[in-house]
Amino acid sequence: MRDGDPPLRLLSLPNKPLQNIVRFMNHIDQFALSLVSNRSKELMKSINLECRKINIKVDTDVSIQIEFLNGIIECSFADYQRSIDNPSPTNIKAKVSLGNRGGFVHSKPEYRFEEWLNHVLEIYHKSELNAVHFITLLPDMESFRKTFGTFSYLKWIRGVTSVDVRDVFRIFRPEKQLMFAVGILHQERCEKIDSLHEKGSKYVEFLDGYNIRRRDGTVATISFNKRYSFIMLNIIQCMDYIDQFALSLVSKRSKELVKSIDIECISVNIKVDSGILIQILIASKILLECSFDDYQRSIDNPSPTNIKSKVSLENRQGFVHSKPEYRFEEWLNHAFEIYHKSELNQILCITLLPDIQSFRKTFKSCSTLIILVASDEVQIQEYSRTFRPEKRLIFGVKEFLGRDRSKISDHIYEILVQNLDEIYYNFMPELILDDLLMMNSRIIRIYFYEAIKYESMLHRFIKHWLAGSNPRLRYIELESLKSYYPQAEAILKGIKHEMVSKEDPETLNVFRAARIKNVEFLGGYNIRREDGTIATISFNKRRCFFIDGDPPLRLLSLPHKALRDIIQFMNHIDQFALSLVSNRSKELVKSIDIKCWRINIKVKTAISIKIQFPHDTIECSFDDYQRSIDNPSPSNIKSKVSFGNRQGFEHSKPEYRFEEWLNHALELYHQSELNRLSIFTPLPDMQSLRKTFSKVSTLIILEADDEPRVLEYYRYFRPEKDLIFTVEKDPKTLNAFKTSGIGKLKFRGGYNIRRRDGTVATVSFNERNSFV
Amino acid sequence: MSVEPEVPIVQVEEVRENPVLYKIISSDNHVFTISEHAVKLSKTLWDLITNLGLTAENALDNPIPVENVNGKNMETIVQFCERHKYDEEEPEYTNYIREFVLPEWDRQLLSIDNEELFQLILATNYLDIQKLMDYCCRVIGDMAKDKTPEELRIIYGIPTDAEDDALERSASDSPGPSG
Repeated sequence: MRDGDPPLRLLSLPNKPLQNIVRFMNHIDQFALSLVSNRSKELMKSINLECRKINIKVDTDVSIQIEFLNGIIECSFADYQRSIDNPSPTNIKAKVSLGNRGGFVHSKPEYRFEEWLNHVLEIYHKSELNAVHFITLLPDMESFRKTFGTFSYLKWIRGVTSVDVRDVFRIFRPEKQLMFAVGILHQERCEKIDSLHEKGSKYVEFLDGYNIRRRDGTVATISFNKRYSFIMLNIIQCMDYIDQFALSLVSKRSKELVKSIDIECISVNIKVDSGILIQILIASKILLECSFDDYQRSIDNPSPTNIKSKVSLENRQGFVHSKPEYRFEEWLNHAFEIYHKSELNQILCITLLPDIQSFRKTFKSCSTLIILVASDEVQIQEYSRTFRPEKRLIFGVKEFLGRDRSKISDHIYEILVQNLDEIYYNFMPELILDDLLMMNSRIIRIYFYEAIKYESMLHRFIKHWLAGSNPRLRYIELESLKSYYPQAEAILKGIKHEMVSKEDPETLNVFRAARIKNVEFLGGYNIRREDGTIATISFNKRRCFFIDGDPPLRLLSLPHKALRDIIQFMNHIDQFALSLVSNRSKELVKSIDIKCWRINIKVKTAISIKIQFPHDTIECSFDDYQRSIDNPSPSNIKSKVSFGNRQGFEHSKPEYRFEEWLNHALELYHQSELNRLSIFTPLPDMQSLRKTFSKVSTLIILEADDEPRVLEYYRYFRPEKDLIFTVEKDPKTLNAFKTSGIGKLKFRGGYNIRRRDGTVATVSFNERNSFV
Repeated sequence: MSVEPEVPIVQVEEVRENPVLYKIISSDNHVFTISEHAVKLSKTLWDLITNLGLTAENALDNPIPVENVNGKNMETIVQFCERHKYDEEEPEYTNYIREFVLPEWDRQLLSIDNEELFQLILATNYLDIQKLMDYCCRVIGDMAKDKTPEELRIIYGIPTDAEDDALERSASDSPGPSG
């Protein structure tokens, strides 16, 4: 356009060229055009321009960011919330820029910050904001909240220590995701990154975080990943158990977030001692406890709201917390919800509670009730009636002596007649035949003071059993303080029996299948009922055992459809255990088409096969692989099989060496090749390890002490896709990065490789990115 | 169990509410009555009833013989069907169906010996009762929890490979039907 030239009258052009003109413009010019007038704005809208996302960033200035594939328009408002009297002025000045290029400054008389935001949403046809990023907070968060409707993500980049996370999130309520994390301390960063990798989260980039601490001691870390929104869940998965629990207490949303990662625990229990405790057994020996000193302390208000709980993990000091709306029962339900449990596993009463009826109302059901010191059977009966344990009742009455058996018989019968998996009765004053015949549970252990005519009573009991009494009984163990070792000859007089040795495999199997532990079988006598059921009677010092073998289920004879369903109901580790039983069971599990994500080998102090599933990993670890020079890969090698946090089992198969275990896993989960071989510590004979599998996609060599070693391993294993390895950091390499203008990458150590022409390249890995 | 034909063993409250009743005779001649809603849970029985053209008027006069299921299992099945006859239909699971809590009543019902459970599954499979099949399978699947392979062999009565091989050999060595 020359000077004096009349204007182009753009808007008078026919629609098609007009739209084409606008399409040819840069994003920032299109945006500038949209600000000229309402008609120009409508024109822009009519072209149906799209941006990827619209976000707000709150830093020293507030800015609206319009994200396109190839750049971001940023409208920055220095005057928003600068004045208390007029926090959102009209005619507010916006600095508009695209990427690093200069843009323009503009204001519109009728536009406040909110109108700018609506303008942006309107022209790019967005109904809502994508994300709000806080780097600093604003003086008036509530009025800021009113400037936009719903949005998906709230990211808080720098936490301010004095601000309660919960309050901020109450104001904003993002629709999809809240990005903040609890419990990751800065100094633990490296460990956390390691654990993220360990969990297979290799795409997570942890870029430091910010700790905030509430008055109750809860620590939250707010952290961000530049590009990936799923960092939150990964971070929560990597937190300490106590921090996950603390996070779940922050707000309803944080509770939902913690719930969403599906943390499992072994059991939720209650212990009644000087105070009452909720015990969450997370993994073997990892116990999270919430202790309540104020429960049932006041008669008027036995279960107060806002009750204080001391939360600790493995006896280490944790934090004290209370929630206004939480009584003891809400805490308990909270634990159930977080750990996805529907019922209490165990109630252990070391002391007794003043009001058991109101305590009973705090939970729906429990599996095991343990009462250590009851004053008498009446009390046990009352507890048992009130709590109705579903599986086990274990109790001890203070003393044998001074109690008249005839007066407590009715109470004892009511206890013994229960249809439970197990009853353990400590300190019964006197055992009589009716007690034995009354028993309806599968496993019964009784420690009693005396029995009149003990041998004759056992003789009569066996006769009743032969005639069909006690159909549910599988195992009974009797131990008497006064009536010593009963004589087998007297008990079995006139009863057909046969002797069994202590090595008799069938009897040992029956013990094992009934899961009778802590009992030494010293041989015994088999008796047989008319229906073919066999029972073994055994005597061990003062104890007398009677075990009735439940016949096995004949699983493989079930119809195929039922078999499939049964296996699908099992855990991965149980499916794996079943596959190891026999070839037929292996074929059966294979036929279900269970898929795992990948199968890896980890070489550390011991070698292990890791079978990864979406939520957990089966690990088969072999301590004896390459331990002997003569026989580096022995057959019948012992494998410790575990699943996530849970302890699994040890197993060996006569014909299985390490390579057969590996093939078993590959075959079972229909994998054609190994996904990854990670070498932390080299094995004595890497070449023979190579022969245990055909192909591997990725080879990871960590902590290799020199480059030739890396090359050597690479030549042995020849990974199909990736080679990842680490070497020491050196200043020359860092300089090379700087001079080549690569500024955005964090160099965390790498590896120099040299071509024949002398060119040196550095290979480095930065969580997600590898670069040369 | 005493055999008293024509005397219904199952007479739970819900049965009385529903006027349409059917009679089923088990393999050992026990007679059961079952309501229409309950019997619909068994695809096999309901198909049979439909094919035989049984109606409210003639149902009780035409007992349905079920020769593959004994009285003990039939009693459990009838109890189960009466209990669950008004349950909402559940979505069909296609893949892993591990995520449901077995109700306490059903857990008690299925707290039976291995052999009984085995026979019950066969009966359930024959009568095609999906929900009971799921519950039985869940109970059996749960038996595997935290067990070693050796314990699984015992619990599930799985023969060793050597035993399987021996059985296979003896089967192939034995003369066929023609001699």
